Amino acid sequence: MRAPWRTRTADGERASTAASLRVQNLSVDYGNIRALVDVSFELRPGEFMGVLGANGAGKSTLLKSISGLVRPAAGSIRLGDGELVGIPAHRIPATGLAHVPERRRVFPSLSVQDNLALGAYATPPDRSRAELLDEVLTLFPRLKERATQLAGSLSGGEQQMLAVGRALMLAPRLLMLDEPSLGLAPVIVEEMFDRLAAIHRELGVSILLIEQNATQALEVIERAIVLTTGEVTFTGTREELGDSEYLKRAYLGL
Amino acid sequence: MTTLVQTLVSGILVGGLYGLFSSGLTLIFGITRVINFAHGDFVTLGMYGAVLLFASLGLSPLIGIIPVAILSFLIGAIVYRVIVRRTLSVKGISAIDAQHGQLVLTLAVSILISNLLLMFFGPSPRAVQGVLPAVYEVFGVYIQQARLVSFLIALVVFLLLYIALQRTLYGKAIRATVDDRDMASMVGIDPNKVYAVSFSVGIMLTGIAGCVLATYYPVTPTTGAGFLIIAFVTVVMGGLGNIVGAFVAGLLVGIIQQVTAIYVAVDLQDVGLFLAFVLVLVLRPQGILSGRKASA
Repeated sequence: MRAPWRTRTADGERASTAASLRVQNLSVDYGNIRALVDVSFELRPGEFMGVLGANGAGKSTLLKSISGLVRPAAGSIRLGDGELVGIPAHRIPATGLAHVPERRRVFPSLSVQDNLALGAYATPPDRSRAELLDEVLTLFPRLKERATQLAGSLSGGEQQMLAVGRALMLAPRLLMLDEPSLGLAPVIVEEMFDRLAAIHRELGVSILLIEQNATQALEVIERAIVLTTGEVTFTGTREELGDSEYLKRAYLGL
Repeated sequence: MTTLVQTLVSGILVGGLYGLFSSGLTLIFGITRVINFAHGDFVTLGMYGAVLLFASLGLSPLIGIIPVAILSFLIGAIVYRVIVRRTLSVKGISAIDAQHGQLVLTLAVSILISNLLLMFFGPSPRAVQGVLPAVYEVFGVYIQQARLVSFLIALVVFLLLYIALQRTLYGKAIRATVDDRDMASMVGIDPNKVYAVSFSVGIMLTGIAGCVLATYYPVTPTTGAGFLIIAFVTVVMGGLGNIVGAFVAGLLVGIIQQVTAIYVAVDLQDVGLFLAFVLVLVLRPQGILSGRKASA
């Protein structure tokens, strides 16, 4: 079977495997604390979008509510044509959404290849696992060398590669990444962002990226939202954000 | 010398069955964190299953394994669904309170099973008579056919469990759920189903152990109490949640019991076991096969 995302139309438009994401009036409460307040934004099919903001602004909560781990108090989350709110977390991957959570969360007592195999647990049956694995190992050749090693024994950078590779085994329509640079050496961060750009370019998947490291993020994202204490305080293109005093303020907390 | 070898062989043969039902207990604990106080009674149920099938249909326990396995799995699924699951998903109570709930509820299941058995079968011992009656002599060591066959079945069933956990995708999904429950659901694994399946499989292994044990061990409604203690000791010796550890510790427990019974006194066989248990707790509290990951 041909991988649909390999195909692009002549004018460079992305293949139809990428999904849009539409978040509308999303609110999330943790007890009495409101973690997200009336958050709305839209990610277009194939777009590389960033979620920026200071620590505790609600970025991870946003991703967790999209993947069903946190139940929103109100609002709607639509992936393509399907509503995600109310679907149990374990059914969300089958809709084509892959989540690479904060701190990688590889399965430490399983081998690298078993981690990747489980990444394809909810992959549509018509997608070839062997083909997906091939793609992942081409992107991250290091994982091939480590195939039989336990994931828990990998370095931080390798674990991050594995976490991203595991997510790609789903053949996702939307890939969500929560701080993939966290705790990694600068040269590894560089490599990781290089890979993310390649994933976006070559696989044509929509990407939603949380990143604390704004300078690094601005090199790859096309558009971003900025969250400040649970509210969307800015939406704009990379250029607008790069020029913005606002972004600096948001990050310096002034 | 012959006595020693005889003792070791007897210990290993019965130890395989301890290993099998203990791996059921440790599987359940390792995955769901539920300490099943009714575990010994599921051994008893497996034994009565064998006795009933033999008495009513003339079915040898070796064939009876299949219906007993299926029924044990179903009973496990029902007990999980009706009782255990409620203690796992109660909002707003602490883990300790949940465990107290499990303790009381699984103890209630234990009392229920043993009293139902008492009601239906009475207190006198029942046995499967005359199945696998041969006795082999190998270099002066006597091996009863029933014990040998039971041991081999326990070994095969255990190996099947091990291979299923290591090699099948669902086995990997179960181990992934043990590693990180939320992450498992983020790749599409339903943790509640993993818990239900693990609990049911744990009970199934235990029922199978009971079924083959019945070929040479008579059963009463309260036989399970002794097995519960043995299972707890074995599971802790093997390292909590470590199924390979549980099986190996099962063999060890069998040997210790036999050695004490032959060289000290039959009545003291459990004393020898508890002495060894205390020694393990003092010297290797993480279990004899530590360093291996839980449930691996």
